[in-house]
Amino acid sequence: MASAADFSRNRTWLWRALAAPGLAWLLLFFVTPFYALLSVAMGRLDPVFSSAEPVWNPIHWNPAIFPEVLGELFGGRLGAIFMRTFVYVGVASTLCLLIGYPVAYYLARHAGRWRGLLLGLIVAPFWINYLMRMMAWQNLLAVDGYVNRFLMFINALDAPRAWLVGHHETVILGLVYGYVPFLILPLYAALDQIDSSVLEAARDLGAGPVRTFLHVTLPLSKQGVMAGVVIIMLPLFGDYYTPSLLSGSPRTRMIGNEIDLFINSGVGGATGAALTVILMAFITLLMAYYLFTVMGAARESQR
Amino acid sequence: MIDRVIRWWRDPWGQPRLLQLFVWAYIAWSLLPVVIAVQFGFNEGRSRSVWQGLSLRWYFTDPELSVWNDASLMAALTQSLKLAGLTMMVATPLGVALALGLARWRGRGSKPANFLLLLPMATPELVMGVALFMVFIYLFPFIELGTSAQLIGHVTFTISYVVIVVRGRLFAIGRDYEEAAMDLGATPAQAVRMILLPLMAPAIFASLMIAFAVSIDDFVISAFLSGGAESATIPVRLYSSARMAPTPALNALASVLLFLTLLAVAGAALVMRRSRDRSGARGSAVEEFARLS
Amino acid sequence: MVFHPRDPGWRRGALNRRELLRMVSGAGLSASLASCGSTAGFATDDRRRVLIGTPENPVQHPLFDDNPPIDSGLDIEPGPLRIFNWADYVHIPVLNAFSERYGVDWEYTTFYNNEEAIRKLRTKAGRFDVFFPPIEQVPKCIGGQLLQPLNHTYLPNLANVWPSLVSPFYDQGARYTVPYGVYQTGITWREDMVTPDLEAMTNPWHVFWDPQYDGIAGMYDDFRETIGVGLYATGTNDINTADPELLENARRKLLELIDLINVRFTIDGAYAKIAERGFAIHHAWSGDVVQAQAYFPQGEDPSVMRYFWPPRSEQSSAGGMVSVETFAIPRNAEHPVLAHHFINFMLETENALSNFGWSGNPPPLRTLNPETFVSEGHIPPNLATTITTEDDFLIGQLPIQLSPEIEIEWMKVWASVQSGG
Repeated sequence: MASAADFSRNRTWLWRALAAPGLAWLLLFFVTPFYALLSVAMGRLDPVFSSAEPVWNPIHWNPAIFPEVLGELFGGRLGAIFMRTFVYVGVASTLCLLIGYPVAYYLARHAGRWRGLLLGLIVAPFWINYLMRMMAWQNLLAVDGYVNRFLMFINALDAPRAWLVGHHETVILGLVYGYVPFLILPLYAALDQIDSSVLEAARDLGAGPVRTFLHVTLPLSKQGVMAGVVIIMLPLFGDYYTPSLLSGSPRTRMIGNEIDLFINSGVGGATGAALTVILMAFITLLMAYYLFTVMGAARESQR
Repeated sequence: MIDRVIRWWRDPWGQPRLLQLFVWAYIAWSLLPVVIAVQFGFNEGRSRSVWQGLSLRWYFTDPELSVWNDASLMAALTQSLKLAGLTMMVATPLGVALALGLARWRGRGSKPANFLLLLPMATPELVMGVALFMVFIYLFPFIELGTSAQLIGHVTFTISYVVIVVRGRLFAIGRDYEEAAMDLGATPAQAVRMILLPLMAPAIFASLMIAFAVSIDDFVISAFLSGGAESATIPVRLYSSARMAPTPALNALASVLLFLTLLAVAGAALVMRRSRDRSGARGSAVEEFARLS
Repeated sequence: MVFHPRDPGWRRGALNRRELLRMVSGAGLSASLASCGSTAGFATDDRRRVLIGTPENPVQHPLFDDNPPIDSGLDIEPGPLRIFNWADYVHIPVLNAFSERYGVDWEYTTFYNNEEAIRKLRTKAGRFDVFFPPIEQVPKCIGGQLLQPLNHTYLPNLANVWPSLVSPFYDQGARYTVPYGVYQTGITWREDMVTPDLEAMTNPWHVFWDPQYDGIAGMYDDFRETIGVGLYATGTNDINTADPELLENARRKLLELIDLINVRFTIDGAYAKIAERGFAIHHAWSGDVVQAQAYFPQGEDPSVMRYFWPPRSEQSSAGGMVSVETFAIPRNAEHPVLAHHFINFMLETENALSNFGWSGNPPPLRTLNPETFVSEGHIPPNLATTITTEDDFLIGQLPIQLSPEIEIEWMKVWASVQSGG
């Protein structure tokens, strides 16, 4: 009788062969692009066409672009947009958490027989095109749209407001609307895992519902919260289409818009690539921090 | 009357009402705008913010501007469908094979391989879009920007989804069937082909549908790798037109997209549920499916 | 509608000048992206030199041994003629007339920004026959060996061109390019929404820095043009400057507009959006203003449009950009003889006039009398100011190609302005 180990060993070639095409694809079209990105960022400026050209040999890479771009980001000409992106991401994430947590909590602990339906409704936005969801707000926030009409009806506004031109609140609304579903699911998963018996134990020990929540549920859900927040922060930092769609003004642009501008400009390709690399590095740091704390927490909870 | 409401609200065996209200309010806020956007696709007039009556003009009847008659809108629709169809055809076999390989692989290299798999999902689309753009401009200029480049981009980030879907199913199936087949004399490859693949059929179908849905919804990658008006997909078209004087035809186009995606997703969910029912699994299929999202 | 997601203008509005259906109604149109190019990437040729001419120091581009002009007296090729240009830039009836006379088909391929155009020419994807470089891109196109020298024996109508542009500073002897149209960049507004008195201002460009235009003013999503406005508004007429201080002043000045008037940067603001009341006042290419008439909704009167070019002001010494659009023939054109004939055809008075009526930019032909443009109905009376004449080239400033290092600085200034700070 073949053992499990023999079983695997006998077929290792098969599994490798099966995995090979997929891995080759990923290596070619996922890993290589990052190399190309670095090659362009640290490449040269073609003297004839004034365009950014890649330098493929790492020995000849010119890293001077990074201090230059970092200088522009921290206090230089790109300082404002850098700060603004952080503020938008911070505010949007916080709002997403404030809205998403109660929903996830309800879903995990109280939904009962409605759970399936609610989950379906909450997951639905995943499969609705992001641009369509933003377009929906374009329709609603138009000068003659329902939002203005409603606000004027309840006398909150005297005259219709041009929501779609240069308003921070509109962009943040868009970001929150866009990304909160992505936060709810991991939060729900984490909250769902909290064993009811722990909560019952707290109740038995005399804690009221609020105290139970604050001292038991909340700490236990911390990992889920962090997972969710990281999951939405990643795309939030790279978002550029939300400000473009919901606000035509330079006042609300995010760093993604600048990357887009440089990449398409020919001459600024290296700056754009460098910004992209910096963005990616920052996000990796975020992820690493998350994994670190999660691993740490997991290890602790196992003791 | 008021009495009953108050009693309902204060019912100690019921759920926290405020929270319940909040959740339903959230769902309304989340879905109503899209419903309204679909509704405006049926608007009689040109406005996308003022309702002027019911009409199919933006879908079929308007001779110049409807989705049916406007060449560029139809082109976007066909491009989206074409790309999504091709993506699912390419990504699914690659992904299924990859999932199989990774699930059973015990040797060196499996950990980095697993890691490599998850990276596309963690990378922001903007970064992927820019990086792929650079690849097609500088490294592989023989692959022109346009459908081919877009296909490659889509497949690259869809593979991970396929692997996750299939892997779940693989774990559920377990090794027993394969081992039995091997004991009866089948070669490993035969066991995979004759036993495993049929068992995985629902997951394969589901991943076809998911690849289709993910590809058809994509914007950033399609935008960066687009070669011109001909290779604009529906989301790309929505983005461009939003800045020009758009008509409800856009809403109609987006609604068509929505319909197609929901069809694909529903198909996947149904197939997964039926397969799970047959294998006797418990719990809500929607839940599990949601976890995939 | 034609558009391209990677073109910044595309996100603000269409780059096309007419709706797609009007274009499609012409015969023989195939807006195809010719994709039978070779695989060459970006080759380095050490004999390239980029000669940037200026009005003070005109330049004659050399002829290269490996890029000779075509021989004289050749027969035309069977076609089709492949045109590579911005969307909706050449009047289709004119193309059809060419088609008829020479018995060939034509194909029109569009690009959405200069970078894309040059990239396509560099990678030799497409083999186009006629290309339209703006003068600030001409030096790099020639130095980069993207264009072939012209054989003037096929271009007798070159004699029709204004004397001042027959041998321009950017291409003396018209070795590689021929002027196609001339235009200025000024300010347009709707008299029925605002009434600025630009004639009386000490610097007409300052009109934008007026809070009364909050939300209804726009500028071009084009770094040369808009930074140019910033430079003019801060008192310098050097729109090709490399001086970091001048650029910084321009940057700060432009940033003021964001909070002051909630400025938006568009590409179609001066024709499509202003016609729909999306703007009351906008930065404008003279041709755009003429085209705006076609975008007015049914029943509305386009004669409310006005246009002013600051160098014409008597009260002010502020400058304004004036420039030339050119024809050229790509080096690897498959039908160069046909291309030459096309250029010659477009220099015929009648054909040039027909095209002008549509594009709004007058062709610089001395056989045309600008005084008659209004009386003959090519330009409405309220837009007589958009007509560009030879004298305008003496009072305006022309854009010159920037060196790569300077262009990067301009791009950073632009990125900063676009990002609101």
